[in-house]
Order: sequence, then C-alpha cells, then structure tokens
Amino acid sequence: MLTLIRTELLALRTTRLPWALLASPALLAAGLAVNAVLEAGRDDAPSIGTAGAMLAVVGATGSGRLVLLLLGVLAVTAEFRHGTVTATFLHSPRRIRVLAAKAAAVAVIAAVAAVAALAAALAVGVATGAVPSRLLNPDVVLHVAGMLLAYPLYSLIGVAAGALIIHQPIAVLLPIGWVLYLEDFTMRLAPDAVDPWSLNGVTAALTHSGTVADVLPVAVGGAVLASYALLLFSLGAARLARRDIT
Amino acid sequence: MTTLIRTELLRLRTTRSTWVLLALGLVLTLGWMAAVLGNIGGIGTAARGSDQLRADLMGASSIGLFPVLLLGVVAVTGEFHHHTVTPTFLVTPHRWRVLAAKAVACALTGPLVLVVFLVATWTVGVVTDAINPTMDTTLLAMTGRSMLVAACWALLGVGVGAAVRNQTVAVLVPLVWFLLIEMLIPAYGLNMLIPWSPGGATIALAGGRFAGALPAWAALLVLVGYGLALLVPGGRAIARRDIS
Repeated sequence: MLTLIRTELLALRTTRLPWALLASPALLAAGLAVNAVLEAGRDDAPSIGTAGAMLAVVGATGSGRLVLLLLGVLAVTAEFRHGTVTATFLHSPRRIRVLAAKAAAVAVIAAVAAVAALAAALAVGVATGAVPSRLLNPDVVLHVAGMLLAYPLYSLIGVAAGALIIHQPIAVLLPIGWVLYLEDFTMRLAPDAVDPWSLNGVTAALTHSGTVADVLPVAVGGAVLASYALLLFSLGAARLARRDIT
Repeated sequence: MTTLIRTELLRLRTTRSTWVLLALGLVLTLGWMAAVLGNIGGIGTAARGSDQLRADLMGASSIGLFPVLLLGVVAVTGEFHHHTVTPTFLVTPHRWRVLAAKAVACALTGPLVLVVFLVATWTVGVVTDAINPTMDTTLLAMTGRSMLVAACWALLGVGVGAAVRNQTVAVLVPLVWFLLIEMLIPAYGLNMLIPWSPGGATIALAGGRFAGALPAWAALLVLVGYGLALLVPGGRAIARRDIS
C-alpha cells in the first residue's frame, strides 16, 4: 500500500498539471486576500484593523479547496483519459487499493496546498496590517483549522467524483458546478431544514464561519462532511471495481 | 461551405452532449426561475403581471448562456478529445473552413437554444399567472437581444475551444473567467474596464443598465471581437499543428 501511495505521489509530482494546481490555491488565496484588503472600508466592507476585515483576509484561505477537488478528479480521470488505467490495473489488480492510494496521495498534497494557501493569506494580512496579532482568538484558530481540514476532505470528494464519472470534462464541471451553483438552486427549492446538511452548509459548519443561518456545531459539521466524502468514496470504489476497462 | 455547415449542424443534432447541455440549461433556467417565483410578494420584488417581473423571470434564461458557450467549446475540443479530428481534417483538409463552419453552426444553434429557454420561462410564467400573456415590443426586443447574445457566446465558446483545445481546461476557463476574474475587477479599481469586459458587454447587449455601459451596437462589436480574437490565433495554431 505504501508503495502504491509513493507511486501515486510520483505520478503527481512528475506530471505538469498537478504543479499548476498546487500553486493555484496559494495564488488564489493571495489574490482574494489582496481583494479583501483593497475592498476594506469601502461600501459595506469593514475597515482594516477590525475583526471583520481580518476574517475576510484569513477567509481567503478557504476557496482553494475547490482546486484540490479538481486535482482529485484529475488524478482518477487522467488515467482513463490517457488510457493508462489498463496498465495501472494490470500492475495492481486490486482496484480499490489503487483508488485508496490515489486518495491518500492527493490528500497529502491537499494538506501541503492548504498550508501554502494559509501562508499566502497571512503574508498579505500581516504585511498590510489587516491581521494584527491582538485580534487572534480561539474562534479564529478554529476557523482556520476548519478551512485547512476541508482541503483533504474536498480532495477525497474529488477522487470519489472522478471514480464515479470517469468522463473527464463532466467529472470536472459537475462537482464544481454543484458547489458554486447547483446546490444553491437545489436548496432554494428544498425545505429550509435541509440547508445546514448541504455540502456548503456542513463546510460552513466545519470552518466555524458563523456567516450562515442555522449552522451545525463544528464537530458535527466536520463529521458529516467526512462521512459525505467517505460515502462518495465507497460508491466510487464500488463503481470502479466493477467497471469494464478497455 | 454550406455542406460543411450542414455537416456541423447534423453533428450538433445527433450527438448526445448537445442534448445534455440543452437539458442542463433548461434545469438551471427553471431552477433560477423557481427562486424568482418563490420570492414574489417579498420586499422590493415586482408585482404579478408587471413588465418588471416578466423581465426578472425571463432573465433567468441568462444562466442558460453557459451551456450555449459550452456547446461551442465542445464543438472544437470534442474533436480532439475523441480523436475524430483526424478523419475530419482528412475529409476536409481546409482546416480554417472546418473551424469557420463550426463557428457558424454554433452561432446559428445558440440563439435557437436560448429561444427554447425563453419560451420555457414564458410558458411557466403564464401558467403560474406571473406573466401577462400579451405580446409587445419590449418582449420582442428582449428576445432579439438575447438571441444576439447567445450567438456571441456560442462564437466565444468556439474561440475558447480553438485557443485551448484541451477539453477539460477549455470547459473550466470560461467558468473561472466569469465567476472569479470578472468578480475581482471592481476591487482593484479597474471599474473603467467593466464595460469592455465580456461580462459587461454581455449585460449591455442584453439591455441591462449600469454606469458606463456601452451602447448595444458597440457591445455587440466587442463581444464578436473577443470571439474572433480567440478564434483567429487558435485557428492558426490548429492549421499549423501536427494532428495525430
């Protein structure tokens, strides 16, 4: 199993796209943090030096999790896209272990990317004075820890989505579309009580963001998000294990 | 050339992705519309039967522009994705003409797809008693503008597809552009760029009003310009490139 994980890390390290995807959470975090600093004090945005502005800057860390979701999708679908999946499964016929190794490798990268994104957001925040140390408190630490934890969980969801929908363009668009658009639509049509249990709802709970009405407790949010990821992963693994490979 | 365009239209009609995109657009449009319908009677919302409510409800079809754009993207990148580009260029070695035919076919199909979305919203609006079933010039003008926008977006999609070619990247680029990059423009003090951006030009052409909006004809030129600016370099690369 360790060899498999190391193999997957080698595959991710030596192909071009993952590097671009690894750098983008940090770039995205830096861009959104600068955006938050520039907007501070204008319109409805809180001024620099307030907790609101600090949260906006620190919160820039979070959005990169979608990029890791993409990386998870690509780690699986690229094998099908380039036809390498046949060779991979001939070498290691236990497909579920291959998928688990991919998930583990992507999760490791997700953890690195999460720290890089946090460092980028904090660098912007400290340099512009938007994140003064006197404003840091356990709630903010919990918020940051939740955002970091969401990275590997989203990458696991990506791997699962890739295994479920092996057609790469659809597998890339559908989960991103769900998080950004479709879930919002669906939740408007569904009863309000469902809202906290949606993917965005449990993520908001895990990241202790407090901006959403009726949010679940942090631990429950984390547990539910992890169970969604594991459930999807099991479905993906079951689907992959039985699929015809040409 | 007309044969090529007819071929592309046949391909659009008979591949599954076209119908999947159409269904996706319909679901998105009706979903948004349901949200608007659910808000009727809320603070600041338009009254039943008013022109404003009709504009709001039928405006839901604007979300259907993304599937129209993807139609154009897939028209080009699908050939590379499924390796059908080799026989395509063997049958028609004039690669530029193939691309031009794709652009024309998509620009013809895009408006039709959008009309389907508009008719769907109008029908649901009439059935739910939210839209007054009378025709007037405002409605016709809105339909015409929407069709122009859809043609431009389909062209834009073909341009993106020709410029990027990798299908996975090509379907993500428009999403990232419209949802992330254009959203960040105001914070960087670049507000004067908004009327000239693809998003700003789209709003102007669709008849939306905001500070500094271009007149409709200029917005149309800007949008077509973006499409051609992507299509021409992409087409050059495709024309000179090794196809395996």
